[in-house]
Amino acid sequence: METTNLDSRERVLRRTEEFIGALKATSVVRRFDEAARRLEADQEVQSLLGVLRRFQQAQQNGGLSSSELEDVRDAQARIRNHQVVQEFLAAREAVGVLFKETNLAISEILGLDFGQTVSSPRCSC
Amino acid sequence: MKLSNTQRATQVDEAVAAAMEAARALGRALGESPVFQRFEAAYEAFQADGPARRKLQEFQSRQQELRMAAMWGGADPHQQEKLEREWESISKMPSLAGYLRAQEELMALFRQVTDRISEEIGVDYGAACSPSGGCC
Repeated sequence: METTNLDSRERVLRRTEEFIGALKATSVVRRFDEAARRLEADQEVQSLLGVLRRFQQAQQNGGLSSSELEDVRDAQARIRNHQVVQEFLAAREAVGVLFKETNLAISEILGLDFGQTVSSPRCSC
Repeated sequence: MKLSNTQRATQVDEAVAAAMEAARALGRALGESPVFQRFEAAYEAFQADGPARRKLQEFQSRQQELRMAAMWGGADPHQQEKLEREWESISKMPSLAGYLRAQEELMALFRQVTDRISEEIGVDYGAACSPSGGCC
């Protein structure tokens, strides 16, 4: 029985690795990888993210002045409108759509929602 | 070698089709696992246990009422404690206890799989598949 459990767990993990490999071969995931690399390498974006992180820290340590708040809003707007960030978000969304489609295929076989996992019966929402 | 647009589109479709087939193979492996089989058996046993199901439904409806009261600022901490005690009692009912154990085991397996996918791809699988960010 223990061997069967182990074999079956190994089979699940092997199929998981094969699934990951197949996902990585899609243009959707390849585009996301490239977008993530560009985001990581973009000095302007990284510097704006650094500004936001510093402000978040300052906020936790006792709030921000109105001029500092203005700087935060400015950094947020610049990040939102940055082309590299927009491309990254669009690529991530496309991966999410692909994930949803694969989740439907898996859930259909299992008869329950795999991606969301089974919610507790204690939870009535 | 340079690929034409048609060749590229075919390759794209093939890669997505292969990912979908790999997803179905994963679904089948999960479905055939003893963990999943135990969960199904425990679920059926719980469904067949009328009194346990009724108790759980009553509990969930009281829980919902309490949640609504909390939203309107009228939550009674004693009622909350009472509900906690009630859960302790009904979760010991054999069919529900068996179902909860099997569910926990299944969730652990599912999490192991989705965590691995999320880690390798760099996007949270569970969050991407959840329409509202999961349960409350």
